[in-house]
Amino acid sequence: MSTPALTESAFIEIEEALASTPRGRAFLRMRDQRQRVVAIEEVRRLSVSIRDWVTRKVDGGGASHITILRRELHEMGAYIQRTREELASLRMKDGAPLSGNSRINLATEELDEIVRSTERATSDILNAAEHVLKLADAVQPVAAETAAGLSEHATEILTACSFQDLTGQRITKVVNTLRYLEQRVNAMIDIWGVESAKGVEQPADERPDAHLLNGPARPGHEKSQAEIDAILSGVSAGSDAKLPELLNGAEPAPPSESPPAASVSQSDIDRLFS
Amino acid sequence: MSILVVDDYNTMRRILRNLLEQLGFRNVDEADSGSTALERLRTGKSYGMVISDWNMEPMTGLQLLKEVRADTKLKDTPFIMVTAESKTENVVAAKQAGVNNYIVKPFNAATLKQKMESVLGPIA
Repeated sequence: MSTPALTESAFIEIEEALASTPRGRAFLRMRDQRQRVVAIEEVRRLSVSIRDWVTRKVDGGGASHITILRRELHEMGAYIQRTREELASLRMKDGAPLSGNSRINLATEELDEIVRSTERATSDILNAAEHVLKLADAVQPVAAETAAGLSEHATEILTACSFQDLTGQRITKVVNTLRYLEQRVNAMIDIWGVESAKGVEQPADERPDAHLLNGPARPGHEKSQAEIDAILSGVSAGSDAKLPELLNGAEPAPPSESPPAASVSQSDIDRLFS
Repeated sequence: MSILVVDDYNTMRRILRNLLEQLGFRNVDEADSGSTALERLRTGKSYGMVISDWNMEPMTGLQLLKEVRADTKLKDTPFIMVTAESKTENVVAAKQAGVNNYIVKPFNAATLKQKMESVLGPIA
């Protein structure tokens, strides 16, 4: 036979009745005290249970998670280090700042020069085409058909020259992109502080004359044929001057294991040109 | 009739000048930017047509077109855009700004003649 549950008002009525007498109040205090003991014991049992669960995880399957975490952190560290080295390698070997003499900056200058070179070449072609048009006008009274043909082909040459405008615009876009990348790389260097990082060396050019290979000179740095001729004629027999040192801008050959080569005399050079 | 050719590339100005001369237009002037062209249009002689590039600094061809259309004295000047910008949105923007025709680079003499005739009528 089940005991019917008390309503809230019935519970309060009985509790107030007990609280109205000293024995009743002593009963209530003892009841509360026992309830607290039961609650504390319950919390303690739950704590032990949680601790055991955590211990099992750490000693068992949890250990592998920590190992993976450590490995991931290690790989992240290595990746960051590689990135620092890659950024450092963007600097020139002499440590010049990226904003000045960097590879990216040099690349943009080369592209700018391509634009200027094609513009000059296109101008020469246009001059020739315009000359042909004038010739066509001149011969028109005596050879109308020939004049028309000349004029037609010269016009085709003219319109074909519009490639310079289009390639110029494309290259300008690439230059702008490179400049943007340069700014971002500079910002990354500032953030990551790669000043002390060791740069990744470029694969060495194995060719024996690699130190002399600089490509076309930039405007203002080039030598005229007359200057080259003068340099060649200035290397006389018995001169101490070495050819690489006379060619401004060319670096002397790096030291090698083999004995140093003898100075090149003018007569040696003359024999090469004879 | 005088024609004003506007392009920041000297090469393209020379090409257009030569093609226009082939078509019989001997009175051709050049400007290397939208701002230079606008100054010339407002202060110089009257032009029967403007042939302009789009991508220029500091003032683009589209800005020049809008300035021309907003100017009470210049608003009726025929204006042809000759540009490498060939996206639909470019053509739409130019059309909305009041361009008379639109030529995409690279182009040939026949195209230039055809587009000019669509604006000016038959060219001898």
